[in-house]
Amino acid sequence: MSILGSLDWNDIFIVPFFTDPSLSTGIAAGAGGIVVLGALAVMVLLTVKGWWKPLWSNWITTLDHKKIGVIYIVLALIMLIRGVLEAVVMRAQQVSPAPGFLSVEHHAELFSTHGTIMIFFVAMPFLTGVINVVMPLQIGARDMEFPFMNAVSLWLSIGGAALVMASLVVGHFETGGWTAYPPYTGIKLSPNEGVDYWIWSLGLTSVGSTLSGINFLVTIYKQRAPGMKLFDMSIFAWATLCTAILMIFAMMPLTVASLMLALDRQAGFHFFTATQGGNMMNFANMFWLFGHPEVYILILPAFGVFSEVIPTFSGKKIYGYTSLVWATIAIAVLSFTVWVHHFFTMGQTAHLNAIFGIATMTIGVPTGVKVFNWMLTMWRGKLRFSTAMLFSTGFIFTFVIGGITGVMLANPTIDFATHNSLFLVAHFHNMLIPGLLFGMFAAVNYWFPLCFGFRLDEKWGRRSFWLWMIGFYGAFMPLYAIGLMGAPRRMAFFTEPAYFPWLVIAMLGALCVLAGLTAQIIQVWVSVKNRESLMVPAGDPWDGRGIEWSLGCPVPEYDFSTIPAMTSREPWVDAKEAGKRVMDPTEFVDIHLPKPTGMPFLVGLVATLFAFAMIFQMWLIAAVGFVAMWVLVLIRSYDTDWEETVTAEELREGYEAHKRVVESTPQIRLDDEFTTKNRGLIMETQV
Amino acid sequence: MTPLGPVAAGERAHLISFFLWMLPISLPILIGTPWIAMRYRRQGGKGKYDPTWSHSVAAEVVIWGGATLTFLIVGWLTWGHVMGEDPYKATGKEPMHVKVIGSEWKWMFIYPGKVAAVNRLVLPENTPVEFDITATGAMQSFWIPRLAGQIYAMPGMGTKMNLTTSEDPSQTYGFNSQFNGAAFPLNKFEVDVVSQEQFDAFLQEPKHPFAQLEKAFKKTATWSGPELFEPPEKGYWGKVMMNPDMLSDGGAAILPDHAPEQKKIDDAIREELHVSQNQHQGDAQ
Ligand code: HEM
Ligand SMILES: [Cu+2]
Ligand SMILES: [Cu+2]
Repeated sequence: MSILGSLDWNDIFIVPFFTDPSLSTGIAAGAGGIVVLGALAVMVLLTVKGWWKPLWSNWITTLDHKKIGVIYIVLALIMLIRGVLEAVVMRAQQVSPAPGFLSVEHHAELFSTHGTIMIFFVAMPFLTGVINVVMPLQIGARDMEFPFMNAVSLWLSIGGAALVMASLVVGHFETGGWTAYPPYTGIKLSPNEGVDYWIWSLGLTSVGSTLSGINFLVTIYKQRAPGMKLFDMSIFAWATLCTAILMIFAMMPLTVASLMLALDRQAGFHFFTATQGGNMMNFANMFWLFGHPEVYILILPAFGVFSEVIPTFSGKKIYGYTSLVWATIAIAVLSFTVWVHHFFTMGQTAHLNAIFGIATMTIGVPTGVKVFNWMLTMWRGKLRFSTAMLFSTGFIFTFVIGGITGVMLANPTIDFATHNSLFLVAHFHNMLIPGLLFGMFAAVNYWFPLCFGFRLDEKWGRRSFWLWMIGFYGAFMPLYAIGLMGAPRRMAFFTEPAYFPWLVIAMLGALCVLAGLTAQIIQVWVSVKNRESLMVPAGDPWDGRGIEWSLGCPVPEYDFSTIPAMTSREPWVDAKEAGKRVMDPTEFVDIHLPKPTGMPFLVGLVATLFAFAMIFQMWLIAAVGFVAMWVLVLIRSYDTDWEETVTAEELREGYEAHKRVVESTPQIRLDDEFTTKNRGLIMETQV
Repeated sequence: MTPLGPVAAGERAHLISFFLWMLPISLPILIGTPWIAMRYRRQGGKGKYDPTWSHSVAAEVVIWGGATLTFLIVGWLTWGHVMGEDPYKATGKEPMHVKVIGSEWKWMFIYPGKVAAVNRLVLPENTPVEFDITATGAMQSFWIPRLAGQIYAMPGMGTKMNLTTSEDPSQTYGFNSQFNGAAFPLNKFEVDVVSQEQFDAFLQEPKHPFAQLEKAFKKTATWSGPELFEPPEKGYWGKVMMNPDMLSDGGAAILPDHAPEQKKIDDAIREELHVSQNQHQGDAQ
């Protein structure tokens, strides 16, 4: 075998189009072309503008948790664009006259990449990014406990995403859906490199996510400001704590299952093949042992976001703090006890099905409680409908519908009639779009100033909300209907005329979602253009409640000039009520911050090379990559000169400077919150 | 979709009942959220402002209590539904037995000792039927929506599904709902529920030798040949279950772009569509 393993000419994206021109291969070539041209365009732009150097020194080598968070979010947004475009193509395929313009295989590649991308390369980086930016600021920490490892996680995730993008240009992606069940994904039925792409891109990010989970958890345990008890933490920090525990325990079964699949495929093992004593049901079990907790990894951080946004824009303390915390803990624990509901139809006994069905319904209790807590937070408040608040309210309303259908699906007898149907597809989108994306959009709109110092444009923000909201209903309510009529999921085309009108509505809905996404891109563009008038240097542009808002915007690299004194659950609210506009400093001391380093980037790069080599069976390159990865880590471990000092004096200057900005910022009323008068620090102590 | 048999009817009834049971806890949210949003909006809202109101024992009791109560009701109902409608439990005395083998992209039905059929399932009316299901190749999901919900068909394993057919003759269809590659959209079969006399006549229809079926079943991806064959020897289904490779030549579900098989599948899809465009198929309920 050559050094290039199984790679050959036909794997290059453009070749199949020339050997077998058709609309389907044309679209594939076009998609690959977009990736290649996009990459080229970015490189040209960076070169022309001379941005390579600042990109390297400010971003690629950074160990600052806020910047790492921002990179995660940018990654999520890029992948979201691809995911939504794929969704629109699938919708178009199903409304065009059967058999449509895509081959069955090509359509399968689309739903598989769409699902994989949305879960692993949109949702996960998005929430990891938001946690990275916000959590340390909310617990009074200066950084993550392990900043270097944090950056390694980031570059591993980016490596995974890069592999999925590479599959558009070199070779094919997998066609067995985001779940990749064998025996379909075994070497016999799926001989090409697609499944290996799935295995190794997930391998990289799942290691990244496990490390992130460890990092978040240790940070919360070790880095809280002195005096902050667990029950003094913000709800978002609580959500992070639970998510981190889930990440640590849930990613492992996935990593193991996918590596076992890799051994089956490449090394002749028979973990999942029926004839040699293997059993594919073990894969289903392990996959969902990861998969169900995974959906709570996706949803809990968003719950945390809503628990911050809603009190702020209701001008009111959160309702039922203790109740919310215990509900979050309950959800996290229960999420490990219900995975069997993903295969009620696998022929196990009725008792087992009944028990897991009922266990699933128990999760509805704490979830329902949380929804009522948010409503009661709004109750007796004074609501201001910023973009973040709109997404939160839209979430409450829409999520409930997904909750109803979720309890329905948890009944195994109902699941027999809806499993693998579009009803199920509608249900999980009904949970994930409000329960994940809306939360993340709210987070970005809410916390954006912490990173960049200016607010996002509200007008385009609101437009994007309405487009997403209407688009969601248009795209997925029809799927409930035709799902009940018996339309299966993952179908390349339907011949049933009764489905057609519904599919047309779903297509329009998907276009509306696409418009919403476009509105968000415009929102960022417009905001960057008008950033001068949207600046909020004094910080706290929304009369916020968490201590992250006691800092100026953008937040300095060291976060806190002095670690805040935790006098209560909401010290910043206390300070504001006492008429203060800056928190009193505690003690100025020298601090150490990790120096920027290119090492995490290199580790990620080498790991990605290793994974790519594994995909195409270039064993020599793979071995070299694997060893190099650990050598890099070793080299770093012996590096003793990795910290730089910020002196107490510099911190004091930073504090004084912030105080001067605050003092020179005129006080305005909340009514002017969304106008250019808002330069930060709105206070409305006198109601 | 209108159910034709009692199992599907039960599933539909549960679906509706669960939807209704969820309303008492969901409607307060669906109505309450817009109402609160209107009433407490900052500009022009009429609600009273109380920024420190953050706890109420009464509200806690109602919320946790209401959610728990709903849970107890739906949990209780679930237990009953699942025990009552276990697909492994026969739906009547002495059900008729049909053995099912799913493969890329066709279904074999064996009426033990009587007949074997491909992609055509004929059943007598008003009769309890028990299916023993297995697969060769990829995993599939055996589903006749208007008669009963689905059960997976897995290589190396046997599963069961029980149902009772419609009271009167009817026509419907069944299919595989678990994506399994290039001809997945064609992976379906006709279901004819007929009178007892017609069923007896069906068993008497002329048949081809089973060896012919076995050979062709292994080789072809999509089925366009004859439908009826002599039954295989006793215990044949069990043998296939233990050794699925004996009925599949291990052909790939993902085909290289120019494989002759892919061409055949494309043609089959086109042919199928041509037929179904001129013929009303399925039900539109
Ligand atoms: C933004 C609008 C979105 C649209 C219009 C959309 C549309 C679709 C469509 C058409 C399918 C294929 C359904 C089928 O099997 O026939 C699909 C599958 C899927 N979507 Fe989405 N989707 C959207 C967003 C999301 C999001 C935000 C997530 C998760 C975070 C997501 C996760 C998935 C998953 C996991 C699948 C299943 C893939 C599989 O079958 O393996 N989608 N979506
Ligand atoms: Cu689940
Ligand atoms: Cu099994």
